[in-house]
Amino acid sequence: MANLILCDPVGEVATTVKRSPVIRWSGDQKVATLFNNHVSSYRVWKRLEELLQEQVGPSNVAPFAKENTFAPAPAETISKLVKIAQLAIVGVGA
Amino acid sequence: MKTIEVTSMEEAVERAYAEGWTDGLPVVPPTLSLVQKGIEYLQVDPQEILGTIPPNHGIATYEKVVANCVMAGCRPEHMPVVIAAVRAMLQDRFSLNGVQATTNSVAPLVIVSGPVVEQLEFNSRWGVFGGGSRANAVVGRAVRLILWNIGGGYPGKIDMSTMGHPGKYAFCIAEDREWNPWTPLHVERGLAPEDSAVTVVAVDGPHQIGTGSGYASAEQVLTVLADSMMTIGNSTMNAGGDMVVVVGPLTARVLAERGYTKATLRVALQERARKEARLVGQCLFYQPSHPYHWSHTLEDPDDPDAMVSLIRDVNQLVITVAGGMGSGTGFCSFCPGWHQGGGLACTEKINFPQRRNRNGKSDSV
Repeated sequence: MANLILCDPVGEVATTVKRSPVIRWSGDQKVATLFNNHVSSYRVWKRLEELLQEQVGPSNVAPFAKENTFAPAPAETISKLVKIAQLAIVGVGA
Repeated sequence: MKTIEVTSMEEAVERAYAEGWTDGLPVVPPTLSLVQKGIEYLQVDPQEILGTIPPNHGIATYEKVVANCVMAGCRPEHMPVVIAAVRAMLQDRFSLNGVQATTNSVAPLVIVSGPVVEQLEFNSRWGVFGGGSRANAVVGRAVRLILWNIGGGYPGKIDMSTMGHPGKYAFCIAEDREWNPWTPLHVERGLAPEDSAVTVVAVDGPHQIGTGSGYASAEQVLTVLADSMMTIGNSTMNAGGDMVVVVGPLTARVLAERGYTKATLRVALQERARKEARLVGQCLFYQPSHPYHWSHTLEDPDDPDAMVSLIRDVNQLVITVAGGMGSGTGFCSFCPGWHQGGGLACTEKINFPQRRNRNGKSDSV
């Protein structure tokens, strides 16, 4: 029997960012939080936002939330976020 | 494409396991010659990209899709059906990223409708959810292998479904054309009767409902269907979304003879599939603050006597006709969905490659 040539069925992973950017943030800039609204994360996210407010002051924290946990945030939400914040913390995982 | 050379069929089967390509069952080795045969049949550029499959965002080139189809046991003519299913799952409203990663048990159900059902011998009758039909099995399995090998939906790693789903081996049914007294599913969803199509919906496994439609009144049938659908622990009751009722052919005939269409059946079930808030509220699966929580559908969310509707919008109830004729028991199935945010029904036409016949005219396969 001749040798068999097998084709690898695994998809190459698409990458859009080659390298993570270095975050430069000074304490007086606004931080946005983008909550994914997953049921398992309510308490931890609420606590995270409280801690952030204690650290940088309530007026420097801009909370956002996705309505759909499992889909990317709408472009409208992202454009609002980038207009007012220099750093964003997003909720990942479930 | 990366290739691997092996010296025997046995080695090929074992190598597929070693590489992590399989769902646990042996696969047909994706040999270069079988993959090329599929590409030639489809008349496509093997490097052309259908999309990226989340959550890994693996690039679904035609050759990768075909390799997975080969592994599932597809003949080339099954592949356009799989490709239509992939396109449907990549529609935004399906939210495949979530469907693949959720702790919920849902899996994409592939519903095939139109002339392709007979042309490729899909089973739409006895044991429609079970085994025995090559077309149902290989199309269903190819979809799963694509989600696995290109999308990266590995259990316990990215696929965090706590209970899993037997349909994660294969989950493909077909709508019966002869026994369906109503409008075909793909026609309801905007395609022509002569088209063939795939509709995908992320759902739980089928819950059998014995309606007794051979002996019962339409009202009794509707009561049984509605009551069996609105269990308080299912996702759809808590958080909405699309769901599927597979109406057995006997029950469909009985309801149609009594004047019901798919549209009036949806309304009738919506009216009946409602439970008191005090009972639904016993389930804390979703929290009231969640945007999809049932309490947001009520005028007064604190009223324990308010009736919570399983079917928030009649268009969220997908109805298809399949299964064996059976006796008077009139079996049907209900598949609860995921929630308002994803797994929603998406339909794509199946495009077969055009062939030239002897007269030089184009003809689909």
